[in-house]
Amino acid sequence: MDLMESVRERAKANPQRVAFFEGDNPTMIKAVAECQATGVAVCTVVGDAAAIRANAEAQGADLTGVTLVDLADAEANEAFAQRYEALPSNPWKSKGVRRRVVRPMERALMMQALGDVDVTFGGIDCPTGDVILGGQTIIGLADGIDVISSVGIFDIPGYEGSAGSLLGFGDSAVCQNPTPEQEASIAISACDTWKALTGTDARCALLSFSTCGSGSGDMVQKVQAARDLAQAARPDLAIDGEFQLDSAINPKVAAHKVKRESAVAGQANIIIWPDLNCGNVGVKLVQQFGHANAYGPMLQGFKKIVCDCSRSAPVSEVVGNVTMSCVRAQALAAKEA
Amino acid sequence: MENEELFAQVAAFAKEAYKFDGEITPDTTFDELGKQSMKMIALTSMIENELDAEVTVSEIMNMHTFGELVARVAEEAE
Repeated sequence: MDLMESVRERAKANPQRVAFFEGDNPTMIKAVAECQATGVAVCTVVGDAAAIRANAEAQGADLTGVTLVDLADAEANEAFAQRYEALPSNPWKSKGVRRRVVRPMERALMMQALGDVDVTFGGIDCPTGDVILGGQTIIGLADGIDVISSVGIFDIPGYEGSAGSLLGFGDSAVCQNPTPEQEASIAISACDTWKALTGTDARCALLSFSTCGSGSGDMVQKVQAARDLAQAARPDLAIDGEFQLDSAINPKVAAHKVKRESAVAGQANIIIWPDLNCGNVGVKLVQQFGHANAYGPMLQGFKKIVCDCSRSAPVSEVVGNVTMSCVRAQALAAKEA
Repeated sequence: MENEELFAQVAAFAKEAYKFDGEITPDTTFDELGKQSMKMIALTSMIENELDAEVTVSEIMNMHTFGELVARVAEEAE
């Protein structure tokens, strides 16, 4: 069973509640209908209910079983505002809360903060930066995490690594030039995301142009500092570095270059880029030359699962991202139980 | 509200949000304060709650100096 098939089966076995906030988008409403019909998620769409229904009808999307939260319903908005105001994490006074309960993305996130849904999903019309800021403001950062980042899982034809043809990359999309603290956060979040999606333990390598001090300078020191911080914060995880890419994923190279004990060297299943220049170039390389298929990138680092999709994502990609988000939400719930 | 009084208020919010001990002037840059988004979120919440002026974090991310923020708050609070 490939990764996506396994994720789909797990999502259906324990469907999570997902709030969508772009119900007037044609692609999104078709994705909502498919997620609900196939049973990978229990869907709620937040917005102007009349506009959502009109969009669904125009797209031939069947919303049977989908809950609509109508922001035109003043009475329901007020009742919701009162519930949200009582939440200890609410950062606003009365007026600020009422400003936001009628905004689709913020209302969806507020519902998630209250526990009415497990996942907030969007980004097809809304810029990624807005989703990240909304999530940071209303959901907040996970404990011990300094930054929102992303992770993608690549299925690389012909690659035979420690997780078969799969290799996780973080962060190739969000954090441009992470500090050591932020890089440590990216690694920790990536390990948790990998475990949630694959069901296997992560072995996470912090990449550099240097392996175990073969190079020197600020760029190397930054990665070494990130390694120390990550290991101190989460000794339960296998995070190590600094490694060159081959030392991280190739056991023969690791045996030659890494002259100390490491649970990661040569058998990493996730690699962490030192900055976004490397991350973007790395992704393009495996896609262009390795013809890799990407799962994600998925946002990580929030207290709960907030997912952003590409603005050009087709329905199948949105459904895939929703499905992965649901499995991540299952794992988070299991961890908190 | 006079601009000086507004400046003092917003500067006090910024010192609290950023845990910043130095003097804040109109020319103080957000690079000097630190561009961490969680601190900007705390600052915008204080401005909104106390002055009823909604200035977004995205707007602040595009500002260079603290003076620009105070001018934007003054405009929003009018």
